[in-house]
Amino acid sequence: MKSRGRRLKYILAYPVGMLFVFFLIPLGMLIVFSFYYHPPGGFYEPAFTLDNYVRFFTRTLYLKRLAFTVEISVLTALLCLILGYPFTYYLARIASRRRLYIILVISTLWLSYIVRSYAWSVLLSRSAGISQLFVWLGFLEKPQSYTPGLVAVIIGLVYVFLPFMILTLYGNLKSISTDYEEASLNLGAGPWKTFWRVTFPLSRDGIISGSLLVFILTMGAYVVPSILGKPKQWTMAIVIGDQATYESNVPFGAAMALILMVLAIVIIWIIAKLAGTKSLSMGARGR
Amino acid sequence: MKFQRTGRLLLGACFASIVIFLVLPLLIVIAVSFTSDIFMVFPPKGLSLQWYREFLTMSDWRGAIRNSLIIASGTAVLSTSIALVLGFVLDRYEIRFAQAIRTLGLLPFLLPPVIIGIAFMAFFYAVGYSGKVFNVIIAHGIFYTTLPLMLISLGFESVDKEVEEAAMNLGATELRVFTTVTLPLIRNDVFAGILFSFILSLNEYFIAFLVAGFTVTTLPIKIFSSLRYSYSPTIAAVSVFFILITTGVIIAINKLTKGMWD
Repeated sequence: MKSRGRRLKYILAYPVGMLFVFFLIPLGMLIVFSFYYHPPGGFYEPAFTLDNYVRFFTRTLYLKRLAFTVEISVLTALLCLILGYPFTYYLARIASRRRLYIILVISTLWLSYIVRSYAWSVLLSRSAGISQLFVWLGFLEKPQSYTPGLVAVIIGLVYVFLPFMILTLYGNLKSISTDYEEASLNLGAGPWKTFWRVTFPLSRDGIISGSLLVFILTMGAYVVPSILGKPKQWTMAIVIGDQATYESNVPFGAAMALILMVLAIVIIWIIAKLAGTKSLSMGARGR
Repeated sequence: MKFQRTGRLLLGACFASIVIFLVLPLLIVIAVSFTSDIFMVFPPKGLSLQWYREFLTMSDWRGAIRNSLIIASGTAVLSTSIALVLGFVLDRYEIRFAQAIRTLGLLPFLLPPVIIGIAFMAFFYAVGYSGKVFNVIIAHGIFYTTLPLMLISLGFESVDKEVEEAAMNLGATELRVFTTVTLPLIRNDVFAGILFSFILSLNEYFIAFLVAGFTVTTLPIKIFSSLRYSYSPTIAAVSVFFILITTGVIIAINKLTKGMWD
């Protein structure tokens, strides 16, 4: 028995060692770097300074970007819920050829953000986009471009994150037995009342976890706002990436990444506490 | 029941519009990729495969394809091997800190990519080894361990333990039972895990850019930098490649896992 225990240790050494060395230590380095010093025009020097944090919290430029990121994340989550719920309800309860639609949703979900943002930049462009259609229909005099801009960013974010919402709601709605709805209908409640009194409250967990998922994904969004937005629509991830690469200020980037992470965790924790929900699913569920 | 019918119709219209919303941008990209014009215009004035030829023959695109395939393959092997061993041990043995170890395997994917990216950047700078293909494989491999781990854990759970015990009683060693009984039973889940992390790595931009973007060009990095200069239809042709391969892999995963999303 003893040799078996030792062998188990050897086996475990590989995955746990990899995750320790290449996940926990990098996360630790992130924290360490956030206290490093960035010499003007230089790269970084090991130190213990709070300058990076002070800089973030004393410049309105960065605080504005953080506020914008939170706002657009809330908006995206709400829009995804409003668009995703009726879609998923139809998909789970009425639609035929369900598998086809599910494959469609999943395939778009995992398709690179780059390709999906690019697709919208084409669709919203002057030369190849929907404005051509509007001209043809007579709504517009001349074709115009809708990208880059706030509207393009919002459309793009909803487009890339809607499949996550749909998938989360789908699992939830499918697990609600139709017996409850039938019972309500049999007892004389109309379909509208049945929906609001029975189905909707039962799908609460799906609504909360879907919205939280989209919220957290948008908090980290980089590709969509950088392809479809102007600097005015830059999210925190862009500011962080910009500092860490083009400005070669990794310490400041690390500090902002930590601030973003802590804020996201706090918001999710508060919502989860308020809602009393237990689990978040990630778009890959059990059978 | 008149109300019910209009309600259903409204819901159906809603459903159809979302389907169009999801598909339309991709259809336009596919259409643009076949244009014979030098610029992107829709509808295309003539048909041509020139942009596909450019994608497959120009050396900088070919280099990006090669890097992406190397990174995605390395990622698939790394993340699935970690997931396989971890999933096996966690399913079979009562070990201390099991819950903590499982969380450690599931956590990377729950963190925003920007955090993983900057963390690896800091880590590789501190180690003094930065900007390499190897670094992207490590970063992707860890980030994408979560999905194969979920798939493989489900696979292990569904294995009938009596079959393994029968093999053990007949005198097979633990290793032999694993390779000849258990592994064949969860083979599909392992393949699905490999495909899943392969396709995710192939599509990933931000972490790859942060970890090695200035020295290693992957396909998404190449598309992104091309977008800065022009909107050449070559990008549309590359996008069609991504659409086809992603959809194909998702269908394969769904088949392998007997409909994990149904």
